[in-house]
Amino acid sequence: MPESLDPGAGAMLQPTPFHERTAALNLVNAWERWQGHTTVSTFLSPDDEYFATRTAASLYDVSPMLKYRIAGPGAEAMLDRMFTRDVTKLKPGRVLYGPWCDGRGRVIEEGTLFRESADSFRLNAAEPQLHWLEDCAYGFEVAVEEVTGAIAGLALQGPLSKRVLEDVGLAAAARLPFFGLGRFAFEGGEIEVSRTGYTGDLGFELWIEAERALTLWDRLMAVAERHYLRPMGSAALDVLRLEAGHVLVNVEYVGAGHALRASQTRTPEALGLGWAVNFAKPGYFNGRSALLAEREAGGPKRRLVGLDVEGRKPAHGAWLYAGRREVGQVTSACWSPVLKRNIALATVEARYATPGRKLNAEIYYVKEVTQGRVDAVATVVEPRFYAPAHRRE
Amino acid sequence: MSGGTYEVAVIGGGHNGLVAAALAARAGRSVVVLEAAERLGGMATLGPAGEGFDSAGAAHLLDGLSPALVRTLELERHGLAFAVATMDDVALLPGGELLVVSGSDPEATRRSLGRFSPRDAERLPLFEARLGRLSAALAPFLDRTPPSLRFQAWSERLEYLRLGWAMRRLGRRDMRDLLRIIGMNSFDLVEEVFETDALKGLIGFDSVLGNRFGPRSPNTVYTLLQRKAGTLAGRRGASLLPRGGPRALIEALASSARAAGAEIRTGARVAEILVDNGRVNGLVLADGSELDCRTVLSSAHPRTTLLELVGAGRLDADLVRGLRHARGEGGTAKVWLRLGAVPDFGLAASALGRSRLVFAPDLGFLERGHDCAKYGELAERPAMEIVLPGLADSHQLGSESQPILSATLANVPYRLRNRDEAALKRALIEHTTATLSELAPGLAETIEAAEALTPREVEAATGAPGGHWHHLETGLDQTYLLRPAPGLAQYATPIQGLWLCGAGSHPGGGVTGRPGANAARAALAAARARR
Repeated sequence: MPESLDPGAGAMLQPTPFHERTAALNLVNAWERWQGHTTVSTFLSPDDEYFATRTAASLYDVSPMLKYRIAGPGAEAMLDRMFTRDVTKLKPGRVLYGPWCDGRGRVIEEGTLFRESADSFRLNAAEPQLHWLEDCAYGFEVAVEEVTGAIAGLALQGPLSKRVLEDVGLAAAARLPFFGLGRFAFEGGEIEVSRTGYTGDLGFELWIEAERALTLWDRLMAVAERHYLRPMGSAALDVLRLEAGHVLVNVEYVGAGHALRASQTRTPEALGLGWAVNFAKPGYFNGRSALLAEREAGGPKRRLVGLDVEGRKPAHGAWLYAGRREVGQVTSACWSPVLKRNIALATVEARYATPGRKLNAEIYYVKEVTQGRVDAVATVVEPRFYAPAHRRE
Repeated sequence: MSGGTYEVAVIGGGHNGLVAAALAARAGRSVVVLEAAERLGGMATLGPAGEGFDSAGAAHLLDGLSPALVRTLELERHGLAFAVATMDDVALLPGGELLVVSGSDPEATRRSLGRFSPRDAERLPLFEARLGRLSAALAPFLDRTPPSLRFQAWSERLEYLRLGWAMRRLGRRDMRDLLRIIGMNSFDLVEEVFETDALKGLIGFDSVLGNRFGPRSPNTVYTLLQRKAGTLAGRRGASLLPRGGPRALIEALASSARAAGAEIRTGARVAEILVDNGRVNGLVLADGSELDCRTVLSSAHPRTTLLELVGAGRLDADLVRGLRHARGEGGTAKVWLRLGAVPDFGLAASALGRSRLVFAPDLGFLERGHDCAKYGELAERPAMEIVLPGLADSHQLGSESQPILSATLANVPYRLRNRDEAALKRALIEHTTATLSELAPGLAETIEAAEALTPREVEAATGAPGGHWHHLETGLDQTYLLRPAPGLAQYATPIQGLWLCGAGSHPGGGVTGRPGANAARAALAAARARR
């Protein structure tokens, strides 16, 4: 069993707690690295994994996601100062999604914050945040601890995910409200379940001590055939998240903490997360002054938009033109199987970011051994391409 | 409980706070100064009260006080006078030899230095003129608000042009010289020019005093140039002895502020700066009373002002990090000795009174003292500056029969390794006494009382974390548009209406009045612009 497909990486990459099972099912041996771990790109067919999520259910190993526990009497105040949203309104047993910014109002990252109890929170992030969390913790009575390795995570997503949970003795968890969070008895221990996900579909994320990861996997896979539950790799997930209009750090923007060029960083408003900036909340938050100044100056110069692209060639990295003027670039693109539409996320000059605006996309694609090029009309749309009502039910 | 309504409140009654208050009051604002201690003057007037010392004060000498401020605030009308207008610098050497750099008589300097090296006697005036030209080019910027790096406002672009023009006007040769030496250490520069250890030690001492630097520390040429920007004395960078000591200077400043209408309260500790939607909305005092004001000038340490009085949670975390990282552990201490007789340093009592004695016999000595401080030790023979103000000034305590010797020790550790504060205090007195006994035979036997002041005592007495006499070190990385921390160099803070006017801001500490004056001007200009 290879540690990685990159021989140079060697044993530096760690297996996830589910590795023993995912490796056995990874029929095409397709791996990729994610925060120091090997994770599956696809088990066999990205299409099958995708359709399982949109029509039945899938399992995706999110263990490498960085997890931090922030606990103490000052935790709420500290996180309220860190997040642009009002954390004081977040009740125990609830989850909040939102960005956090530096002093210039540039998004460091966005992620989910679990309020596990009055004084204890868990932050999930894609990039290391310990340094920033400790900076933010100064002056607050709070302890920050990274718990990434201790907790194994499995995303159970798809319209049948509730039924899967009911089928494995987690009926109570299946009743969690949208963005709800709870701990439940499971197989002689406990499991934490959040009604969250990255696919835009009905779904849950299951969190369990790393040592009990395989128990969880086995219990779920034992009912897999009954619900067309399929393990999924990241290739399918990328299409799912794009359909849901979720931004991805290092793709739609670069985190302010490690961007080499300030021009690659974004404010929440520029990422379409203006709704998540609460200027009215009583407490100060990182970047508030800068974001207020941006708003008073008329908003960001560039904005993230959704694009509905004519034709069926995915507009990967396409330049966007308004007449002869270059006004933006595509950051993510795919053919959406469920929508039967050619969709993309792009960053464009603010004045061209209004829905309905037609731009011209210059799309390059591989034509066997040559580059093909098409010009396609791209219509600016809301980036949330696929938002089925059942995801909230 | 209401503490009154004012347009401007000044936190801290040190010299910078008083300067800011006086300027704001002169501009017609209603002003109150809030000093936590019962005594005005901050670090300048710190010192032992009992044992016949009677508040001798710490900052006996002035070198950087802004002459423009003396005029604007009419300090002479308010009682400021100088017992010695230009002090002689006298280098003490083991074995009793002296090197005199006279404050008023270049010929005397030439004679004294000529005994060590005729070559150096020729070079010193040229060297002084050279540093004089360079520091004169930089000096105007000590009285101006540094620009930010945003390059947005026209006034800031103009400031960069002004800076560029000041460099350009130096001419190619001096500009090249400035660019070459400004980041250098004073050790290398002084070694290039002079051969007399005593002179090299004297210049090296001036480049490190106040900071925890050795002559080999980076950019100690810059700190030397900053000292040489002082023009109040007859000789550039030399010291003056105010009549009546630091207390008299502070009284003159307080009197000037009061005459302009400012109210000064002592024993009034500020507990919190109230902030509403990013603006100052008053102050809460330790006694619980609330003071209504929209503009606050704080001469407290920037960390105290922002992290304690405002609170880290009301500021951006990256700004808080910058402030926390600003270096400012104190490295300077005081020792006072009450003597039973005039000590024999080889100078007559009258000459002794107008002399600033410096014990730093060579650069290696200074650097080794710095090494000790780096590793939490106090040098056996610490480098120090000594004055006996009572010998030149009948208005100060200590007379010919009972002089008070006041020593300022450079390169003192903030903490003595593996020892407590009391051990540092004892060591300061013992090492000073031992050093002085070698330089002035019989001095030890005449000591009637001894007192010391450690950096941590300065910290406790003034509330300035670290107890550093500049609040924060004044190396190039913490100066001008980087002082006290990036984003805070324009005296303004992210809290509208709150300004930093203490030593932590440009151009730094020492009794100059410049941070106080620059901050007051910036705050008044901003208030005018808003109207």
